[in-house]
Amino acid sequence: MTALRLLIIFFSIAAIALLDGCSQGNSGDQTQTSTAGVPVGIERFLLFPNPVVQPGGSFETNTTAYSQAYYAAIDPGAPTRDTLSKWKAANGFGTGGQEHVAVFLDVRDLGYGRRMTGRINADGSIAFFVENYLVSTSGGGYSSTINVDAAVVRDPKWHIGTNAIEWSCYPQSGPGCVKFAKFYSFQPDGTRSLTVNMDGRGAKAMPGPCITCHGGRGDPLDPGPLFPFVANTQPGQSGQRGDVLAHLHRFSVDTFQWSTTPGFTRADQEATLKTFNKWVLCSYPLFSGSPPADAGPEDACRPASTTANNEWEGTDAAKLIKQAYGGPGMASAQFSDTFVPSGWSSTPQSTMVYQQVIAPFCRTCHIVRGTSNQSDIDFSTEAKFLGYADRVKALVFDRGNMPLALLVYQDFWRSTAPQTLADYLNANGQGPATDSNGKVLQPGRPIANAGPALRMAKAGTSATLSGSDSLFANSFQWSQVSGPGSASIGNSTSAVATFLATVPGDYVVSLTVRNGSLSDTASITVTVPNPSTFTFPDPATIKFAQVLDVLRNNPYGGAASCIDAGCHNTASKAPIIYPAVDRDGVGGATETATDQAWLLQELSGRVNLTEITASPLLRKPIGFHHNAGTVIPASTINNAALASFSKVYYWILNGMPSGGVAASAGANSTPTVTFSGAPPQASVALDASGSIGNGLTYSWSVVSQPAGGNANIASPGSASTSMTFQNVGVYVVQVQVSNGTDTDTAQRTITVQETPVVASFTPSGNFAVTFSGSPTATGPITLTNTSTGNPTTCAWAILSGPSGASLSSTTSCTTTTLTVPSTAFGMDYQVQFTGSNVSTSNSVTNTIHILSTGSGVVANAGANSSNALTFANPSFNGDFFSSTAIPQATVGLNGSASSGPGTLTYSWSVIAQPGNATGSYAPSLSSSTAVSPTLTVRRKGVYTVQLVVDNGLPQGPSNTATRTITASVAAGNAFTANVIPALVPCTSCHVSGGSAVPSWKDEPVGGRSLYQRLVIDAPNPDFFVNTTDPAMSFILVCPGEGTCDATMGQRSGFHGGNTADYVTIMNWIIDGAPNN
Amino acid sequence: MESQGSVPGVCASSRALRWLLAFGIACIACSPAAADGLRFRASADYTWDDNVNRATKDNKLRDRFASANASATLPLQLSPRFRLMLNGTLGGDSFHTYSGLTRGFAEFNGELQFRNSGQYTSPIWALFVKQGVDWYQSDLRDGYRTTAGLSVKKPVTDKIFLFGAASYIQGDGRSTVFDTKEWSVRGNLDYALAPRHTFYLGLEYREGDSVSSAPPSLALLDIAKATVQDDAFTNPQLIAYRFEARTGIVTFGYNFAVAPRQSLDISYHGAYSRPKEQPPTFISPDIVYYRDNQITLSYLIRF
Repeated sequence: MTALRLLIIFFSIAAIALLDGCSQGNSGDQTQTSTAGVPVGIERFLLFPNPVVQPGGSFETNTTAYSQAYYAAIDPGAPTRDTLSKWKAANGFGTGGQEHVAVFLDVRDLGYGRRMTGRINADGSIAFFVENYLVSTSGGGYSSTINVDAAVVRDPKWHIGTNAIEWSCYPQSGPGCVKFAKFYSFQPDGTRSLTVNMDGRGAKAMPGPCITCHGGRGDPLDPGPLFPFVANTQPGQSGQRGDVLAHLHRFSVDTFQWSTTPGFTRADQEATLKTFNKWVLCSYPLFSGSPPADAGPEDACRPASTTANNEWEGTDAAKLIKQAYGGPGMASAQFSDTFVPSGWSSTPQSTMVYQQVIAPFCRTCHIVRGTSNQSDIDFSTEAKFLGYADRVKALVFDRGNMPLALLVYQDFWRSTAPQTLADYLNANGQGPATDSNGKVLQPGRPIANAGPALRMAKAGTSATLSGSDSLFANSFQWSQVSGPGSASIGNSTSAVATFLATVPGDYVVSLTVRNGSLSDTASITVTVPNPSTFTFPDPATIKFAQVLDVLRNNPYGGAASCIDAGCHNTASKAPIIYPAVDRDGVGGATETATDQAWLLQELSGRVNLTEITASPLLRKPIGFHHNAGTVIPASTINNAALASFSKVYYWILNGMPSGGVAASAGANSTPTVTFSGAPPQASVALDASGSIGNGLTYSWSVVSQPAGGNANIASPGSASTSMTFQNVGVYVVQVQVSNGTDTDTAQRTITVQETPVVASFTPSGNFAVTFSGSPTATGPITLTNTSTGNPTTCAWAILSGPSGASLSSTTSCTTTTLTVPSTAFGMDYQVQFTGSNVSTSNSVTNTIHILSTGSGVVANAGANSSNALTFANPSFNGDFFSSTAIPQATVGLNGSASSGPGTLTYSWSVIAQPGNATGSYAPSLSSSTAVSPTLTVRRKGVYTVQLVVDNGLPQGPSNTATRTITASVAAGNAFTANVIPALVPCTSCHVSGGSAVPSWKDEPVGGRSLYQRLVIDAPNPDFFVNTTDPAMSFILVCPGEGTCDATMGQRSGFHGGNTADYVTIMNWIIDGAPNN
Repeated sequence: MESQGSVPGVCASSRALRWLLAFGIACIACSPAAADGLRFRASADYTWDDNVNRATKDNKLRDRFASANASATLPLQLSPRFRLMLNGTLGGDSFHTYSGLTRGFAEFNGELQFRNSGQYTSPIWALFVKQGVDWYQSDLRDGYRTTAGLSVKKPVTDKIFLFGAASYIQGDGRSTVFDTKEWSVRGNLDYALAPRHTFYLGLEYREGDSVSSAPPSLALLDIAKATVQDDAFTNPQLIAYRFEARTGIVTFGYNFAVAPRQSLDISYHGAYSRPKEQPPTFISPDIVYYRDNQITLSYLIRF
């Protein structure tokens, strides 16, 4: 063998060896990360299930922009917390007071060794910072006990970072400020970090990895970008950007593992952790109305709250802390978690599910979620959990992104909990979560997702069928299952296909996805409405304006629009409000395009582009977790509701474009109108101001109307105008709006109704008429139309009744006057009224019974009077008179001043007289019925006569009048002046000294005066002068006493020539024969 | 993601090339004339080891193992001063308790020797390259060994032989823990007490990667360059740590030739290895090191 050969051999050997510089790849190291028994899902640990997908596919909540905005919100201006040392200083660490340290291994959630330092300050603020230690090599790893050893000694090699939570008012301050939780992450060198890798599955942007479990919201950024502002600010909330409504967690001492190093065992640190748990409790609101049985002195530090604040109530979370220490009062020194809420204690199975599934794998994160307005996500009751059962099934068994923390997820799948949960869901009708053999379904298998179960499409226009949310699928197949016609499905073997149908009706379409030998199928129903009766736009053209229309204008005809009071408006508790308000804070009374952009941004947080059907914007209106508000009930969904739902869905599929226009003609209405005028017409307001879009033009038109409608739109080019019409019926109006680029129309159906005429008028029944006039008295009755329905044509008629009645108007629609004669008193009239409006006619007949308000008569008997009368003897003939004649005088009565309607009758009577005017001396009337009779009196004195005037109508007090007549004897009848001279003629016989004939001379006889002799000394007092019966006075009568005989022819001496004397003496006697 | 057992494409190509070269060399070397110079050796050994896992004193595990080797050597004279020694060895160790350490191996060694003169005491300088492959029950340890170095062998007297070598040793295991690199300097003194009795003493210093298997320890994890859960020590599960260490090995033994080509040998190997980097005192005040003691009984034969 040549030397050369041998050298070649040697160097070849050397080359062989040196070529061994290639590593064989260390494949053995891969076996260190065994995840045997743990299925692989979509793996989005510590990311929000709705991470807010951006156009490029990134998750906004997982971007540095998000974390930058967050820190800018919670530490604005010149930062005071951009390093750990600053943060500590800002929170008082190292300044004495209540500050403690605990070190433990968090095997349940993150697997770190955690060195937790906590502090509570005098103002009640609480802060924790935790150094996380992870020995990230074989021998270490998550949950390794080495981690807690590293935490005990604070080995910087394994210190992977520090997290901090601050529950304080900052950046606010001062009285009344509201504390809220803020989250920070710091790198090992103390600089604040925008991202944190909590589980070895990659760095994720703050604050997401923290608040996905601490109960905070992952809303999209506002333009700026600004960290989102939770819109439902209530009095008790902070009102701060950066307040994500997150909370501190209880320290679950039972789940920790501990170092064996003295001072760091569980026993050594139990008291510190109890103190920490009390501080956590201090950060939970204390609601008014909390059960007294749950109260304890540990609640004194908790901020008071009410449901008006609409914040998380934390009732069960507080109980969880208290129960771990023996209940209210927290008397137990050692933590022991045996808590099962009453809402999970109804059956042993419920309790088992809670203990085996909820408590270990769900509760930690869920119990700090929700608000008083909508708390079901806290799973504190079985009913709440079952309300989320469909999502539980999807997230746990289909998608595999719940539990949301890696270690919890792995522990879940390595336990019996999946089987327990799957069986439970099946038993409650929320499965299937197991296969035909009862084995738990695991994530990683193909899941068909064809989108919402119901949606609408436009006849003759393509609509997108999206199966992009399907999971773990390698192939897709769309097909029509049923329908009224044959639908064309384009790209049927792609995830995204198209649907086109021309025949109206419901089409069932299925999507089958496959991965190897596994497959899954989902079916949907596409409703194609009849375009002649229902309009649905081209789905591809739907933009933001149509969505705003759905949110603001109630086009689905629900009980209320989304922005009605109590819902998504400025006074509501909803987390997002929809009205046109100033969102960017620059002011202005109207919504600008920028404000709309902000709203679109906020709404994008309600859309889950990783699973569109799970979008709150789609689920809540159909009754899922919507504070009991179901706007579009699935059970009674109609075309309008399905159209609204579908518009939102297609808008999402279209990429949520801004802009567009949405016409709003207002809600269909059924006004009840009143026609008036000539011709009768009515009007209704048309309002398109609810249309959405910028720079809109309007064009109203009448699509259809009933016969005789004569509809006319006042100003077709205005947003708000009116339409007049002349008939009832169905009117369809349409408004077309345009912004110059997009055009949309909307119709409104106005079903005009008119209140039917129901004829009625007043009066009916008894009616008291006030009569007047003569000789025939009449009285008016005002008939008033009280019909409903506002009749415009009316007719009155007297159907029956006493003659003499008349109507002032037979056509008035307001009033007419029925004039009736007084002779109709007590009788009935039948009066009919007929009223008609545009659409109806009706009659009514009333019976009016005529009464009177009174007779109307005013009797007048004349004024009281004092009459000086000269009494005369009615039978005095100058020479001879009958002694039976009674002297009398008369007084005229006059009732002619009486008044009253109709023909009057008079009735006089003497109702009072002197006491001695009785018998023959009683007064008398010449006529009791004459208008002006005379009253004959025979005595002086006071007489009262009464006159009653009657006209046949019911009398009243005014029918009667009285007159008082004071009758006195007229002057000229005095004894001295008149009687003595009147006796002079008598003295021719009645001389002085006479015995048979007494002397009537005015002289004393026997010491008696003439007066005495006449009046007193007579044989009896009444002999010569009889004041009681003046006519029988002897001086007047002179009865055949012998001397008074006929031969003298002058009995009594009074004769024609002495009539005056007779009258004088008689009147003197009637006057009482006074000695005057 | 790499599946277990696959290698990068470039490395697969280089390994194929190596085997091709080896085949070629065999063809070149295996000429009839070359076959006449083959020498064969075999040995059987039994070793007691008090620290098979190379751990600190509290964590040492002891075991014993039997070994067998067979080798063939082909000297090839290149020139009056140059000689090429080709050697191929097959062998294996079988452990009693920790069977993961049981292995089979093959080595192929090439040594280019140079001797300036034929004088007895003239030293023999050599460049050597050795390529070995190990198959362990412990998958992580499977791999290749490559050694390259320079040696010198010099008889001082007819009783005293000195040997010295400096070499670079590189290992490539399935786990990065067993991807080791180290330098070695060693010396050996053979003293023939009598014609059949030889004592020998060896000292070796190594600097480079050293692997120790021990329970999880923060102190060890702090200073280890690589770690892996050792599949040779699973109950309890130990961690294999690779440190950058300094190691001293002393060997002394006695060889008795029971027959012209057979001998019995007893030897002691003691090693002390200490990582260059020690854990901070706040983690552990103790120095990390390991000691190992082996006693081996061997039966050797050559033919």
